[in-house]
Amino acid sequence: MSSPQQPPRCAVLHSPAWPLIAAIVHNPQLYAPLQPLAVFDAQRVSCCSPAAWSEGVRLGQRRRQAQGACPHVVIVPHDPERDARLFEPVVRSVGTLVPLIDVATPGSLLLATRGPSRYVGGDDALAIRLIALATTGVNTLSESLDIEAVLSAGGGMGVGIADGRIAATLAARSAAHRGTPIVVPGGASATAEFLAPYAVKVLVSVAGCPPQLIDLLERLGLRQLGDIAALSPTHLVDRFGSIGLVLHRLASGTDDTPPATVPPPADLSITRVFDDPILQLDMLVFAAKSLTDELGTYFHERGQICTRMRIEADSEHGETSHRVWYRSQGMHSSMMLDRVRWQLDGWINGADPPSAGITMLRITPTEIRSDAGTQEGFWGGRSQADETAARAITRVIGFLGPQGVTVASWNGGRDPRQVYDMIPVADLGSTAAAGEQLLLRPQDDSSADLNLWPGSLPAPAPAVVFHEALSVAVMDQRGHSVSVSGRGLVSAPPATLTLKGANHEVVAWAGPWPVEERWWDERSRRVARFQLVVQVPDGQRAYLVEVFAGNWWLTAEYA
Amino acid sequence: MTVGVASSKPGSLSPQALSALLASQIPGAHLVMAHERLLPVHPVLAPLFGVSSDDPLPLGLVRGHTLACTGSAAMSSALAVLVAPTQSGSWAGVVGLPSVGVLAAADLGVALERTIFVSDPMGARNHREQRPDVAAVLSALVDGVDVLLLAQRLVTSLPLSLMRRVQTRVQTRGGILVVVGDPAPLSVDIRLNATTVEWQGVGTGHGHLQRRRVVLQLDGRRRARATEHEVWLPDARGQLSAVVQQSEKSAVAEQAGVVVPLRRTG
Repeated sequence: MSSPQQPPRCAVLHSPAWPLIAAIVHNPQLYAPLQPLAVFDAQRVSCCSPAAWSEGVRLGQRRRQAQGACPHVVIVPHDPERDARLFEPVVRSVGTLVPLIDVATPGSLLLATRGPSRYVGGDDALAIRLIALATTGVNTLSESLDIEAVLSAGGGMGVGIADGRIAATLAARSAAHRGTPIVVPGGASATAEFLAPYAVKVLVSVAGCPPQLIDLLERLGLRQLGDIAALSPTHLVDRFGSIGLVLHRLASGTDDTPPATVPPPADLSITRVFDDPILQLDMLVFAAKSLTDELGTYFHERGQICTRMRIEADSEHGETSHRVWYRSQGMHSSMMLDRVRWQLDGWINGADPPSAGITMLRITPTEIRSDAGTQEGFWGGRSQADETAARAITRVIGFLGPQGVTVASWNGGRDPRQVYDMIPVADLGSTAAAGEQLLLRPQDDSSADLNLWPGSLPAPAPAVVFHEALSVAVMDQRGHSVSVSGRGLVSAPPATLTLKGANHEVVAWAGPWPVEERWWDERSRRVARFQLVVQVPDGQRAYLVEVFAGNWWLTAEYA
Repeated sequence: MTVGVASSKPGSLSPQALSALLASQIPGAHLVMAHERLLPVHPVLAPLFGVSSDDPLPLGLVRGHTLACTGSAAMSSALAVLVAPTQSGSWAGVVGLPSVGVLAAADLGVALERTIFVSDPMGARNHREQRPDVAAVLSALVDGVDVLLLAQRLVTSLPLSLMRRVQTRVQTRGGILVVVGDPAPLSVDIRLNATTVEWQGVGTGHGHLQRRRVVLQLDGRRRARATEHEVWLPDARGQLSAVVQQSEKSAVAEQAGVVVPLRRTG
């Protein structure tokens, strides 16, 4: 077997929390750089500002955990389109120096250094130049803001230069933390030495390795990339088969192509020419959908997935937009469409829009690999029923909008209304590992998690929980409204419940159970809850009512 | 195609004999009787259905049927119907019921990972501020999920002809339609009436709601007889369980033991 070629030298520009920079620039009145800010994607913290980090907010936390650590954390909405649109000026600014740029995600881009390094006088000079260009790019978005503060809220901008995509990406991540660019010397041994201390877990995000494999490696005691590189490739092949060889190459930095990459057929490019130029983003995206669907079906039938593609658009006046998109885990048709939308949105609604309508759109996959099922969709292991349900959900979302279809996700809380959050399915489907993020009720650690909520009602739970509480009246024997004192004592036993104008006799009641929440800020709430069993003509009905500031509210029915 | 079964009256044959007879008359046909296309039911609800294949009552929920859940425990009994199908891999859609208690559903055993909650299509507005096509939404859902739970308010506010079309589609597709509440004037195949007998566990100012004794009554068109069954819905863990008559006294005694009346002190 011939020894693999040393991968080409790359530079990666990486902003760890680009969504925060985009949010601050987009809406400076709402978000200030020094505030603790966090973005939640599928109910987990996906990035946070240094201010939030120092208060204890960590990536992957649930919203309540994050708010527990830092009650005044400001939640920034997850909006990939905003992030991509505002990243466009940065790509454009870097594009003045280097023509060919791969955009991995909004906030991260990759370029080959061979030409530009020689042009600006070495890798170190290139790194400094890239930072300067990126800062200029952010600066064009907003003149009034303190650009240093904005960048530091987003965790800085890191530039890493190394042999191969993986080493450069890892260098850029470390560089963002450190604040200075990292240039890894060229050559196989220097690259291997740089990679050695990284945890094997990084292979999931940078090389698209299946998490189960990484888990196995960790259990075998191979915790760092250096541990794998130190083993002989023969032993790895013995134990893992052909993937073992790939692992060895990845870990020693001699190969950075994701496992099982195959070159695409030369003519695999789909073009759509519009006779009537189009300038509306919606129409363009709609037209692009047929292209991405066609590509998605093509790859799906062959058991392949696209990891890198080029999107080109021409306007009637000859202006062009040209981007390369890369995603190590591969892109399904919906993800391809997202990237078309990001690119066109950034172009059409950006600083330098085309002067006429778009006449041509072309998508060219440039790197594909066999789809070994490295990622599970939101539906987990798929059955026929899951497939048809997924199709139906997509159609219903088309009719009702993204908020129309929701699933329940365990949230926790004292109030039956809060225990489950309803999250739009659309929000889950667009993210990579949504299946893992959909939080059902914690089954194995239920005792631990449920105990976090002292004051929650004991089982059984009410089957009807009113979204908007109904105003009711609860009277004692003498017809006075029942009240609860500051020390949690009831003025008199409840005797009648007046609901929608009808009086019902209270046959049994329990309470009050006072709940005092958020006493430390203006959202504080002090209520007392009761369970009432009332006699109605056809039997008994049980209600959960609460008294808040002297008024009675019906919040749930044990229907 | 006419099949000559004149030799004996079909009604006098057992289902197996009828099926065998028909199969012998129609070469190559794989015969599935309507009552064999079933969705599973919760084991505690099983006594409401047939006990053996000879029984004239079907052994589970017949696909294509419309079920109305009525009575004071309508929502709980509708959720109890969802339990077995969702656990065995079917999907459920809940439409126009924003007030459904998700925690209660989870406690009963509804597989939430296969349950979608759809906002009321009558009240929704899409991004062009138009009212979406309710018929299209419902038919998309019927095509996609096995059990569709609809609010009574939604069913009665839609034109009767549209709901009949939805019912026909459910029959073709082989799902079931569950309406929470009485969907009159829409006619239903089966009716599950849940009447609360009593709530236990709460006194006058002490205890908390623990369990509810409910009488479930199943009746409908083309059913030989109405069936009745007494269950705890929910029981002390929020689940569905059968009422065991013998241990009645001990249960009450046990319950009396745990209730600690609160007294005003100090």
